[in-house]
Amino acid sequence: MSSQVAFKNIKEIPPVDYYTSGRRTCAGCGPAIGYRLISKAAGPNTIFIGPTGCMYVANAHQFLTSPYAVPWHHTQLGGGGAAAIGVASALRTLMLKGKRKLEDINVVVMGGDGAMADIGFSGLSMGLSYDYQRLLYIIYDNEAYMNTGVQASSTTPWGATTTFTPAGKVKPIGNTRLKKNMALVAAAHPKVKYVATATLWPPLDLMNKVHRALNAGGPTLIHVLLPCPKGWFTDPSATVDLSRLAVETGMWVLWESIEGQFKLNYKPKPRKHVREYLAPQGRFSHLKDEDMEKIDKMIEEEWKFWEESAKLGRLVVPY
Amino acid sequence: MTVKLVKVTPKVERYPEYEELDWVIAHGLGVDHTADITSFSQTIAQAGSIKGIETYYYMRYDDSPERNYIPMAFYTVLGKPKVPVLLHEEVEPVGELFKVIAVFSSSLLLQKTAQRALLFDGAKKDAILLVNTSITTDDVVRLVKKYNLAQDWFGKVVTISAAKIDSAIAYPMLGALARGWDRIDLDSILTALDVLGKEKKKESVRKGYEAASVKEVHVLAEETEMFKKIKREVELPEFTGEFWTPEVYYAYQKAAAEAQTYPSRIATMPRWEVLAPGLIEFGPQPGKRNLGFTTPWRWQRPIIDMNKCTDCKLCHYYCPDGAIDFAPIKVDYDYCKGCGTCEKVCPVKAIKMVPEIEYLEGLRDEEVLRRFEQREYGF
Repeated sequence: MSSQVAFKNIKEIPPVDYYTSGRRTCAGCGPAIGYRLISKAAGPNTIFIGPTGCMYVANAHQFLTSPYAVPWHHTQLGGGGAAAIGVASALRTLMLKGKRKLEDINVVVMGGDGAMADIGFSGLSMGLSYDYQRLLYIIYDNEAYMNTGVQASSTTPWGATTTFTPAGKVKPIGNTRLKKNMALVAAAHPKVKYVATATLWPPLDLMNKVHRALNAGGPTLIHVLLPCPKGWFTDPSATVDLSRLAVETGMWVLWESIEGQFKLNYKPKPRKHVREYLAPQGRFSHLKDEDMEKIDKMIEEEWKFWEESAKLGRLVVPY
Repeated sequence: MTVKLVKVTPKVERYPEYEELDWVIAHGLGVDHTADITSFSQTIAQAGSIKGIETYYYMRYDDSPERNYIPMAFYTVLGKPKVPVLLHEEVEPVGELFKVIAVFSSSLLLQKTAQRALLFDGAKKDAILLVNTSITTDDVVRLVKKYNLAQDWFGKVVTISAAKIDSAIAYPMLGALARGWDRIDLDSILTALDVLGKEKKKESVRKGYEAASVKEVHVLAEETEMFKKIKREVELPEFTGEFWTPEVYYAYQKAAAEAQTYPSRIATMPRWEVLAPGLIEFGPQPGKRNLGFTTPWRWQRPIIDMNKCTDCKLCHYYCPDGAIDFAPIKVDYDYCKGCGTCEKVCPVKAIKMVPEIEYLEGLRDEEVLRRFEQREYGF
């Protein structure tokens, strides 16, 4: 497994987009930035699998308006994991039988938190137990079902208001469930070669992780936090800033696990108070100061485990 | 392989049953105006039912109510007295349907609508154009003639600087509507607000009624710039009975992208016998952009100062729409949605966002600028 840095400088990234302009995604769409960067890093020899979600509906549901310059295939909400195994298996069989030229073809599933962490969870888990090379599962996590109008998913963070968990007089907090850590779940699969978390910041981090994952020699998963201006109730221009703040406040931990070897990619020093990340977001506008302190304390506690993991070089479950 | 093109004249299929009714279409920017437009349409429907008219209102998912900054549309239908609204169906902007065209942001006067049609596609001849803007009624008529009108118009234009009165811009706009349209008068709107439990907003409606400017308009189709520009025919690939090829696909895409009015856009859709053998979506060639979806939808645009630019490529890296070329750094305005990400990520502050109406027409619209100050997020 190579852990090389493929993209050292933004000036040297491939200039071509394989997920191109001309689509109905929101202004300032975080997942669209993520998709662009992932497709850039994966290159032209890629097949994208798109379970239902924003990245299907806003891109390809109108006739004659496909923005994909590489093959793309829609699956049902729960079908992303299984469809990817089917594609990878078909390619391998055709190559083994000599009916297709031997070459490296990436199969990348671009599933949202609903399609990977909730509805398509079983398919994803099954996919991670196979040994197909160049099979990459991406969870683009915007922390709710944004396409259908902001409903809570199992990756919605504590305290967030969604249409399923509205903050009001009776329940002043909003969502009281804790965010599911999908990367930890994926790391618990014995055959998985590479698991990482990423977001839009720092630059090139996401692209390099995609490159590493595709060259890891087995099924891999990257859990990407991508801000959604519509569902987070923020200014469309704040997407990248929020990614940076999520990392700097410790709310989003950048790590990778390379064949079980844990590596912490970024340690905020000093860690900013979570208020800086939560305050610009409308979905947290109902939280009081003590609630924010509570979240900050939770993050503080969690980080002790991340630091211990970094010291030991293997994952320690922080919950 | 070259594709032989044939000329097709768009056929307009009108709906006489629909044209007897009065339609109010409200255009706004997705997500930002969704709540305002909902209150606007809901109150009109309520006011209509108080007067004994059967009404209903709806939004269509296809008209992008749920995508930030993307043009959206919301419909309210008012029946004639004693003629009930029986057609609970969606309507396409053809024929003479819309009595009121409400525009929540003046940037929409310069663009195509959510359905990639002209603003006046499907409008009645005596339509009332209601715009939330601080620019004058004369300027509004001039802009509409330049960008969005290609038919006779003997109606009214009503302007109101709504955010100046209330940050919930729906209510001053309702007042302005009552000023320009006798079908829904001020009293019935105020009663409707009582019924809806929004008594506090009555004052905003009254102020909007007072502050609105109304002007009668008399425009012939031949006077408009758009009338001279629009093509009467669309060019489509000749049907050979063979399977789809990239050339045929791209020719259809090009025709759809170049269509200016709603009927001609619909005429570019492949007929059933073309689709019968099946369909392959080809997508753009690597390095090219998606031709099929070029509508420039934005209320502000980025301007790059090339003297300051250090060519760091961060704006290209972070552009959500991939609208900035890698080398040389250049914005493709056919695809930019005006989110402002590039301005935020630029390390040397070489990018500045300029409101579209100021850039294209040199007009300063206070209502557009107020968006920065009064924007509120959350439910």
